[in-house]
Formats: sequence, C-alpha cells, structure tokens
Amino acid sequence: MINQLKAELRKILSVRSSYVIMAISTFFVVLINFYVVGWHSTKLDVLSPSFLTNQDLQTISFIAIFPAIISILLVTHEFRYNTIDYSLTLSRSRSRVLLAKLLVVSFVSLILIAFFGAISPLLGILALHLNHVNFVHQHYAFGPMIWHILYYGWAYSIIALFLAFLIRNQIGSVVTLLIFPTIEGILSIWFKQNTVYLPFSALHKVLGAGQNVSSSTLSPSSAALVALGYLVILGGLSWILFIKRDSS
Amino acid sequence: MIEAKNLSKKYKDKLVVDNLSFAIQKGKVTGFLGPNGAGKSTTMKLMLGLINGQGETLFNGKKLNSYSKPSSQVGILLEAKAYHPTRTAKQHLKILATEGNIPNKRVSEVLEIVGLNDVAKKGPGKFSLGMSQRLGLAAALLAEPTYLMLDEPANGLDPEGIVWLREFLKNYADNKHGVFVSSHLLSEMSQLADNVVVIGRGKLLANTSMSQFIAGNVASTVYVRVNDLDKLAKILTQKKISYIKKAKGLEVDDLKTDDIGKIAFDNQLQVLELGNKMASLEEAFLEVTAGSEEYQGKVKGKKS
Repeated sequence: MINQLKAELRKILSVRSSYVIMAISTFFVVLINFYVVGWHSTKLDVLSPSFLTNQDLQTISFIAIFPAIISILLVTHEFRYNTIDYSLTLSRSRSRVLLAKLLVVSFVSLILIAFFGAISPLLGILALHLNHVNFVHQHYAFGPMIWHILYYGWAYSIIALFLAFLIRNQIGSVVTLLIFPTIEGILSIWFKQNTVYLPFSALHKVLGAGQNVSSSTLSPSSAALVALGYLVILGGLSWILFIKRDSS
Repeated sequence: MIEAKNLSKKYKDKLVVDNLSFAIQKGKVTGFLGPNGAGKSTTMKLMLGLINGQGETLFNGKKLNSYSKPSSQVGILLEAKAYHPTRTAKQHLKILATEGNIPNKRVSEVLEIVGLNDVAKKGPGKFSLGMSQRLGLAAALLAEPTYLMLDEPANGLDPEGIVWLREFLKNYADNKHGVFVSSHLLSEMSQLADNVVVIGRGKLLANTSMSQFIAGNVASTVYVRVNDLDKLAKILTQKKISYIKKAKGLEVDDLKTDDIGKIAFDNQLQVLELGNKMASLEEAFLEVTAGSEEYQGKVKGKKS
C-alpha cells in the first residue's frame, strides 16, 4: 500500500498541470488577500473584529476549487491516457487503487488548504501594515478556524475525486463540480432553510461562508456530518462502480 | 502456463468474446490472430481482469490478483500511447515501478534494453508511434515478468525495429518466459510465433502450433514449369491429378517434387523449374477466418 501511495503522489507531482494549478491558486490568494482586501481596505473596512476571519473563510471558499481540480486530474488523466490499465494490473485490487488515491488526495488537499489558510491572513496583515492602516483587535478563533478550513478543503477535494471516478471525463467532472452549487442555489427557492441539507450548502455552512445558509440554524459540526453523509454515499457509489465497470 | 477458460464478453446484445479457452505456454511465443474487430484486445483485457465478463484466467494455476506482486507474473502492452504526454519517459516508468513494487534501478535497465536512454528525460507526447511502442515494451518488462501480453507491439516500428522486437521476444521466450502477442503483420507473426490462437467474431477458430496451423489449413503444392506445358497438363488430367495454371507453369496438388520429376522424365519433358510452394500464414489465416471478418471492404468490379 505504501508503494501505491508513493506512486499516486508521484503522479500528482510529475505533471505540469499540478504546478500550473498551484501557481494559479497562489496567485489568486496573493491577489485577493494582499491586493484586493489588504491594500485597498480603508479604515472603515477594518473596524470589524472578524475582518481577518471573514477574509480567510472567503478565500478558502473560493480557493478550494484548485486542489479539487488537482484531484480530478489525478483520476481523469488515468482514463484519458489509459494508464488506468497499468494501475489496475499492477495493483492486487481496484479498491486499493481507489483507497490510495483517496488518501493521497486527502494529504495533498490538506497541505494546500492549510498553506492557503495560513498565508491568507498574513498577506492581509502585511498589506494593511504597508498601507499604514491599523485594524481593531481581531477575534480569530484558531481551533474552530483550523478544522473548518481543513474540513472544507478536504471534503471539496474528495467530492471532486468521487465525481471524477464516476464521470471519468476531465471537463465533465470539473463542470459538474462547478455547476452543482449553482443548482443548489436554484433549489433554495423551494428548499428555503432546508437548503443547508444539500451537499455543497452543508459544506459552505461548515465554513460559514455560504450564500444560501444564512437563515439556517445548523451548526458547523452538524453541517460537517451532513456533508460527510453525502461523501459516504458518493464514495460508496464510486467504489461500487469502479469495481464493476470496465477499465475503459 | 496461462490458462484462459471459457472467456465471454457481451456488449449490450452483442457477444464480442464467445466462450474462448486456450493456453499460453512458457518458453513459447503464442501469436494471437484475428481480423479487425474479432475481439483480440477485448480478450486480452478480459484475461487481465480489466473488463468484466464471464470465465477466468489462471496464471500458473492462480488468479492474477491472488499474487502479492502481480507485476512479476505479467507485463502488459495494450496501447502504445498509454502515458501522460508531459510526464517524462523516466518518470512514467518510475511511477509504474513504484506501483508494482519494482526497484527503481530497473527503470534505467529497461530504457537501455528498448533503446530509449537518450530520450528518457523527454516528455513522450512527441514520441513517434515506434518510440511509444518501445516505451510500452519497457513498461511491460519492468518486473521481468513470467509472461508478456502485447497487443500489436510491432505497429509503427521501422523494419530494423521489427527485427529487433522479433529477436528480443524470441530470446525472452527462450529464457523460460511466455509471450502472448497479437499482430496483424502475418509475415512477421509467421517468423515469430511458435503457437497460434486464431479468433473470428469472438470465437476460437484455431489453437495449435504455427506449422500445424499452416499445414492443416492450406495444402502445400508443387510448382513445375516444363517446355511443353499442354502435354504435362494432359498427362496430369489423365492421371486425375488436380492442378491449376499459374504464370508459365502448373501448381500441382497431392504430389511431391520427385513424382513430378519422374512424370516429366518418363514423358521426355524438359523441366525448366520445379519446387515446393509452401503455404503462407496469410493463406492459412484467410482460409480460417473466411466469413468471420467484422468489417469488409469491397474492390470495385470484383465479385465477392
């Protein structure tokens, strides 16, 4: 199993697209936090004690798509270039292939999200400092922030991974990942406060940065459980189909 | 030995592999022949468990996934361009080596074997088909497996490459390994394979040694050219020996060169040319697969 984990990690680190995506996501983190939020903030903007918290959460809610795309590419490249035949022949079981990808995607997404989550407020503080803007004493709850951010980033990447296993097509998987939150937004017309029980809305509620969840009373922990339920269902479906379907 | 037992695969209502059973022996090259769409690639994937179907394939009596290191049992080349185009050839092989629990030093060794050392650090996206085949073969050889399963490995290779591949695979089989190779290059296959498995429309048409396959399906004939062809033809007709006129001579069935020579001598005919015309794999293949082609072209003006 260790070898398979190493191989999956190598697959991510040996393609140009992974580095391009990491570079783009870092660029956006710098642009949003240093330039847009930090450099262009006025004294009125920084009167809120949750200024840095909101900045961090909003950044993560946007930037989580990039590790998710890396996880999609890890799977869809295998089908696109037919290297899946090698992976399945070299491994003793298909479940191991899926599990190895799941663990490596978890590792990579947690590392990236932790990195972005850490540098986002630092970049904001730096820009404000350089711009000679002093903000009020900030309330930044480290413990909850860490698990909210890490859980959100991890779950987003795992949803993407399972979608990739189900759809197998690069563009199809990315489009599905992007379109689902929009569909949930439309569904909120009928679901109203129950929208929070839909997968992406629940996930946004974990972060507390969702668009459709403001009226909900679901706590982040409960929302994380709801999201986990969807992950288990999606994961189970992906696993069954990955075992039953032909390799190509 | 690899034993494929009762392999079947259905796509919707179409049976593409129909109850195939055959064996691949160690120390031999087994050719896998069939017209386009006969189900060769599907059969290979079924054997490897890459697609789901009926039947089972045993590698030395055990299923492939029951081995702790399946890579030591079989190396595959199912598609030449099965690689990420921007990952270097070396990285590609290193990943496969890691996945297959194979020491990394084998990567350089197999690159050396297939002659790709000079381009090891280049992305294979711009490799020619021949170079891709070599990279695919390198991947198959990584664990120095007991068996090789290769789907059309000679595609895209230049004549020198084809000769190299033939010698390499023969050598590999001679070293107590088994090689299962599909190809549509029949002349190449006739020089390479010891045994042959022929399928058409998913059904087994032949499973025998190459020499028996050719001898059993196309009669060998004797070609003779004499100074008075009409006289010889008349004599053969009288003796109820079948023949056909070909070029400036006759192709005679059921007789040996000695017999023809004696007939000519007895009838004072001057022999200008006399020899055995050996049946080719192509003729035997066409004989066996007649009517089982999935896709057939038509030549204008020619009645089928």
